[in-house]
Amino acid sequence: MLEIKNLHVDFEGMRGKTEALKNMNLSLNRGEILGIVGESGSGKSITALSILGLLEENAIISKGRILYNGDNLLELSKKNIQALRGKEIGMVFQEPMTALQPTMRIGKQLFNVIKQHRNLSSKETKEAVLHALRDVHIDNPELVAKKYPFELSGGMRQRIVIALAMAAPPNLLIADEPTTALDVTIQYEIINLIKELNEKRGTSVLLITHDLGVVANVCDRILVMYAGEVVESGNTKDVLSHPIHPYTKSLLNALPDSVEPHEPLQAIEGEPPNLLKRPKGCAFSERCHFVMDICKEEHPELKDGGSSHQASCWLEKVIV
Amino acid sequence: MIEISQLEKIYSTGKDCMIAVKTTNLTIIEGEILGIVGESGSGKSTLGKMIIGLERPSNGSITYKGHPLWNKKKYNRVEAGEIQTVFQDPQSSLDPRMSVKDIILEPLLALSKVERKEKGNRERLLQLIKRVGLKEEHLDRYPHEFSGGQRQRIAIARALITDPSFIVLDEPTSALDVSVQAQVLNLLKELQKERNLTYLFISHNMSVIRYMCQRVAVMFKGEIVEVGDTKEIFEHPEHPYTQKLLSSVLTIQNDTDTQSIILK
Amino acid sequence: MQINYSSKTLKSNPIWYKLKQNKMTWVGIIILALIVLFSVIVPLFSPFDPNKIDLVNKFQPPSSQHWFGTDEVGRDIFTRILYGARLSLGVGILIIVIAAAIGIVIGTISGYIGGIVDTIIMRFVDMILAFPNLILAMALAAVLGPNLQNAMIAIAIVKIPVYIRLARGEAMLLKEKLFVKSAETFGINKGLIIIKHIIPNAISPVIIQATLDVGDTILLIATLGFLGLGAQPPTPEWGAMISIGWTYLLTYWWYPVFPGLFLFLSSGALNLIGDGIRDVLDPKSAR
Repeated sequence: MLEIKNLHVDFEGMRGKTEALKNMNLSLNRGEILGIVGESGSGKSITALSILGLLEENAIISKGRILYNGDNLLELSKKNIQALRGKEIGMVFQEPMTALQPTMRIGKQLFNVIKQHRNLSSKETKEAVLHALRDVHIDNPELVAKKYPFELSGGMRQRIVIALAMAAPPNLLIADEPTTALDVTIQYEIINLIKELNEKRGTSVLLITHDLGVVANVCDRILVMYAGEVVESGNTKDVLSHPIHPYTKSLLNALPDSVEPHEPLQAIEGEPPNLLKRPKGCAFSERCHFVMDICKEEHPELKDGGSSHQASCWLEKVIV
Repeated sequence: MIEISQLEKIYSTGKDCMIAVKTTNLTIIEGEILGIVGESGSGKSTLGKMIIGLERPSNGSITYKGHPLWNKKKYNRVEAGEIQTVFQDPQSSLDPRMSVKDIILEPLLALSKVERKEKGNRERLLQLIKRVGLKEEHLDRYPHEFSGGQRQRIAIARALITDPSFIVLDEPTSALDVSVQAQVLNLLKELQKERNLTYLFISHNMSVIRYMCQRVAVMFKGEIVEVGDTKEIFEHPEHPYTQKLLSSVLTIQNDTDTQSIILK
Repeated sequence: MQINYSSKTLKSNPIWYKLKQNKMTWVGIIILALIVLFSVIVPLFSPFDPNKIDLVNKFQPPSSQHWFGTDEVGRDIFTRILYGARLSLGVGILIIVIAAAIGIVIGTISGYIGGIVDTIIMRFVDMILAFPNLILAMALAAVLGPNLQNAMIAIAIVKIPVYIRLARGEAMLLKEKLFVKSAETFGINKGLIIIKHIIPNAISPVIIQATLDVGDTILLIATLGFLGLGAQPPTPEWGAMISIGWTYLLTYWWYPVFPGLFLFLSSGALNLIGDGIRDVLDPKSAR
């Protein structure tokens, strides 16, 4: 349904060209929840923005294709992309306030979106608004519909944003750190909500997050990104319980849950590489415990964008 | 070390009043890491701010080693530099126009001249920055040249320059990536042991609290609903809110026997 | 979207980069540099004395000898404009530096300390700002007596409140910043916090405003000169020149037009530079 084929995104900046995304491959099947995990600067958000055509002006897509149901999104006109966003592709971002009109009542906002995308009478649309609010587990939709965004809590706002994103209803939902700004108990509810919408309506979801806990609980498959590249991909269960790439392993080990309180945490020493001057070999080689000579010289590639569990690591290739 | 009794914070704007912290009692024992966990609006940050003097309590008292910290409306520093803070966001807690060296040495300005000379000498400074994982050449740079983790190391060095006994850590790793968070948590734990520090560790992250703290106080709507041994509370939470909080945590439960993930 | 830059690359100077990007700033810098350069060099080589009366050659139109013509007593206008540039630009910059320096100190104290101090200061500021700039400057200059020094004092007094307001606003924002809060937790005194944190961080909008204001101040001096309240004849001050030349506009157009043109060019150039500095100092415009 959604396919990204060796996408390269660079940023032209004052210090030169930053290779923010390098050879990104991804395929999302209908009805699937695909997670992209990575730390800041790993390129996960840039992936989402590329799909939505929302990259900043100084971003250059130097190579690659983004196929949505066979159409290359990168070749669509601005107008067509805009039409696609909202109708076909819904989006939810970290900060719900940015997606809401601060001066318009919730009900009106939903009304407008539904009216625009669905062929309904005004009365039916009003019904649909209440229905949409109920779908995101808002108990008293009549009351909430009359409120302005600032009158609601962060968790409620994010539900409204999800309701708006799902209003069309879209076939694909892109959620970029949808729960990062929320409390744990609310995060739990929002994550369950996304899962439920996926199950009930078959909406495909691309979930972008830094939180391995979130990924473990909702995603069917995940991509692990590091320094603008996918370093490991596979079924959530496989990746998290049998990680191949040393980065994935280290990331899991760095979680405070992974050790007893009296043991030191296994931190990943150092920092991600400077994307202005990418190392010749593997981007993780400088921080890797298992580094070999070849890692510094040659860049390991993923085999394909397919679904099998794999990692871009020389170690795997040597052993297998 | 710190005794909080009947502490209250009420914000009132005209007719409305909002109770941020409801009559709270809490003891912080010397040499421990006490965690305060809660969600946004639980009052955990306000509690911390009253201890470091940024918010004035409406009622009640806080004593530090027997001396009251608040004398009516005035914050009463027992001894300058005894209590320090590390804030959540190192990006905004460091002045962008000051060099790292000036930032780290700044708390010394509150000390007497003699002490300032003694604690601010170059050798001691170099030792300190080395200890927190920075290099000598970093001293002349400015905060924006550093990553989040490095900035937090600068903030930690700044907190340690006066040789405090007690540090309030207000969400010290919440703005950091997991791999960097691990580095900073390790550093904080090591420093606590080396220097026999007492920490008040404020966080919303249950896993971090479990890892860092011996005791934990759970705050909910301005009240401490449960306080006790961390292990005890995590294994047998009594208050329904604590139970809800713990069950909401999304974790990767990696069962070693079956190597399967249990979805919580 | 965060991209990790290593600390090394950040050593290259972003200010220079941003300045290079901004072409209009360069137009401003070049115009101003040329005016300054000419005003320094030309009087050294000019055969004309700016104040020497030569009635035989009065009201000469622009020619190869008198580039901008001569005035009603036969003085070379080009020479007088460039002498005037030293005066107008110098005085304009001096006034603004003084006004901005006083304004930032009072403004940051007012904004950071707050309370009664703030209330009193702001009452004064509001009072001054209630009058139109020009009217107040005129009144003050008239009370103090018509000469250049008094005109400068009058304009400075009129300009200070703008900087107080600006610096106060910045200080109030900075007060809530975590780095100021953390300085408060160290227990260092408020004066030190103002000097170490508030002023250095409040200064860039003040500098921007100041650069934009120099042009305006030159206009104010010129206007006071025009009204006879600033520099007195025969001082070659632009405003005074325009004010007298004005009466000859229809018959000897070059007399008011050339000083006016220079006034326009230099205040325009300063505005362009001010815009450029704003872009450079504003972290949000970072690319």
